[in-house]
Amino acid sequence: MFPENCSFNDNEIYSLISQTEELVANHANLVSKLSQQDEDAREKLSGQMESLNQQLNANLTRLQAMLNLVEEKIAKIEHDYETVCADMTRLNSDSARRKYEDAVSQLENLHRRNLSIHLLIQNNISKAENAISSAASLNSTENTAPAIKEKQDEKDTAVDSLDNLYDIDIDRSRKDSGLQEQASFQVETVSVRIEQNATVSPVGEQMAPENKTSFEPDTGNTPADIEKIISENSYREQDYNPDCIDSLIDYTESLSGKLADFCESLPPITSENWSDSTAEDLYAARKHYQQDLHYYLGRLYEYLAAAESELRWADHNIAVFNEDTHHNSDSNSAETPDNGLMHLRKEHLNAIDKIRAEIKSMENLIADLDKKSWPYREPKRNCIPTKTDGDIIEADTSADSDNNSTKKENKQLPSGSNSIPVNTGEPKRKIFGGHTEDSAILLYTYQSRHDGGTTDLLYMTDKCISKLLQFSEILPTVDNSGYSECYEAEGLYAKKEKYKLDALQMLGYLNTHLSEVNSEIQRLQFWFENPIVDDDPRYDIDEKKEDLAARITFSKQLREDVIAMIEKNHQAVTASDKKLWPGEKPCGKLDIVDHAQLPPSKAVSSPEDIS
Amino acid sequence: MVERRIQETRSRSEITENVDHTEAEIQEKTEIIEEKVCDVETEYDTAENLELSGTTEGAESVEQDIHEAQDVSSSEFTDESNDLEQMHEETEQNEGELSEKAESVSTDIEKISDAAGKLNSENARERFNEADQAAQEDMEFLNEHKQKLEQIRQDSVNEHTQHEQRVNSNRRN
Repeated sequence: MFPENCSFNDNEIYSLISQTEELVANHANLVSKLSQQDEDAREKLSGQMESLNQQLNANLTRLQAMLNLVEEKIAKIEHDYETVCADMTRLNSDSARRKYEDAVSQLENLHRRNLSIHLLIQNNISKAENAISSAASLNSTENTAPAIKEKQDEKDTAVDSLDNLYDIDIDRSRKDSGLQEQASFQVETVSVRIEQNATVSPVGEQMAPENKTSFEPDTGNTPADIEKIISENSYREQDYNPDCIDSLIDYTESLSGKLADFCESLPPITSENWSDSTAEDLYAARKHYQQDLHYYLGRLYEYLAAAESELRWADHNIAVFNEDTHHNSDSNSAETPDNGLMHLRKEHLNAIDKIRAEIKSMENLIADLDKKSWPYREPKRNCIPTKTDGDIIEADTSADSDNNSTKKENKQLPSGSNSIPVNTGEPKRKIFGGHTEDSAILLYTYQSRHDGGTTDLLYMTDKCISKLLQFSEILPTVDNSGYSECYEAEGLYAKKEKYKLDALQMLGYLNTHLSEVNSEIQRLQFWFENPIVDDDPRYDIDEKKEDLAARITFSKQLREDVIAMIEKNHQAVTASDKKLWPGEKPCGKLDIVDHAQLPPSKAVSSPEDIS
Repeated sequence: MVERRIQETRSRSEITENVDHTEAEIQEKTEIIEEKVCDVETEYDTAENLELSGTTEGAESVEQDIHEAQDVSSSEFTDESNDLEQMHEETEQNEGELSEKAESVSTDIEKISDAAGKLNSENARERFNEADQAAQEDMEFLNEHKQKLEQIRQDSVNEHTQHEQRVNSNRRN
């Protein structure tokens, strides 16, 4: 299934690189000696030089081949990365997706590793070529200027090739931007290294180890210049830029400040104003700001990841640089490794600290905001009876048909639940398809504003009614003293009573739900007729009206369904009262309250229908 | 005595509800299994399309992750398949139960018919004829629902066989 023998042996590369570095060092020593010797001695050493050159050329060819191979491998890894990412989105199972995420992570590591190898090989090739060209130019110092130009061209070619290499057509996801940023950074590292090589080559004297340790002003490349080159060329990706971090943090700070001020001006949430639509709209506006805040928090996390990645690479490159310097210089010249890289490292550290501080402050603000949320999202309201006491639960009948008084009526909504028993902390029992009582309340309260809650409620009620009717039909006859030919009669009647109580409980739920649906319809109609004018460009009044119209139609349909179910429930309970156990009282007439007292519902398909 | 016997029987609505419930459950399980099969196929596609370059360790690790994902999906498929087979068994039992009931009703019909032939009273014979009619309807109802259950089960078995073939064709060696 998988291709065989496709792996790559890194040891070969590393041994070739170390061998080439050794050759380059020997070559440099020889060049140094040659420059100091007279003609006779030079002739003797030229043989060695010839042999060294041949070895270097052979290594160079192999290195070039390996470089091509690595580039090919990087392309394949990128292909694998894209394949795995694309297939991961097609998976249905979370556990399988987690395995894919591991594979993606592995591919990222592989990509990073191969980039590192690519960088090493390219660096090594550059050194070998410098050594060979220095030997060629040993006898003709006139070639110095063209050689430097050649090096500059090489640098440009290297940078271009890496640019092409990392021109990956993957969406700018967080992971991908991480890869791109690393690539960008490495391009700059190559750039710095080639600058360094150009600085010390190809003049014989400059190839001497003592001249290779720092950025001497021979070519005008001072540490400040190198730093400038880095700062000008690095972070080509606009996504990661220390300056951008500052501006982002400034923006998030101002956003946090605005949001905090806005929250202070919000009205307090009490049981009286939970249905106050003005307050609701204010809270909705706050939610917009909160979403912005979450978005920018995400951006900050992305920047943090990018900065940490940059820091790791800076550390890695400093280590590589130090190692190279150690190889290629004498013991007296081991000074500051690379001011440019050290400066970058420091910059990354500062950026990480700043981002972390801002993330912490934003998270604190978000945590504070979450404590004060709109009651629609509050899962628990004491509006659902949980105690089966057999009482008929009265629904709120105070709703007025006058739409202009909707707001006033809405404020009375909580009082509608006063007649309904509240959760008394009794033992949990299963209702609503396997949910415990508390979770059912949460589910119901949250979902009651959507289709799912009503469907569940209607389904459960229907089941209760069916059971009650079926059971009522098969009850044995009993006389006034409780005698029956069926010796299980008493138990059967007790069961019937239980089913009846369940049906009555569902009736209570339905009444409560109907009351809520009515209030919702009135509230929506009020806001449809009195829309809020908002200067916010995101606020589209037509869109809002259409949305309200659709919600009104939907709520009216719900209302009809609920009323039909209430009637059905009522008939079932009445039918079950035909056979009573001695002493058992019938439920009497169950008045189905016309909760709505609304005009006959009609489909609202457009804003014109409402008006 | 008659009441006791009635207690042991099931109402028609209960039987209909049971058949509908079985159908819905089997359908739901089949959909879940279809998802698992799609996952197995996706994983196979991934494994086929990977170049697996890089180091030996890295390539092995990626390969292992994909294999583990395949194992996970296969295992989930097996679990869900077992559940479905369990459902098939239960459905078969229900079919048997309905079949027994239908046979029992058939026997009753014969007995009623025999008894009606021995009756002298026209009124009593008419009542027996009505009883015979009711028993006939009951037998039709039971047979119809038994056939429906059998059809549901057979369809599901066929579909599951196809699912198994798809998974087996993509299962790694």
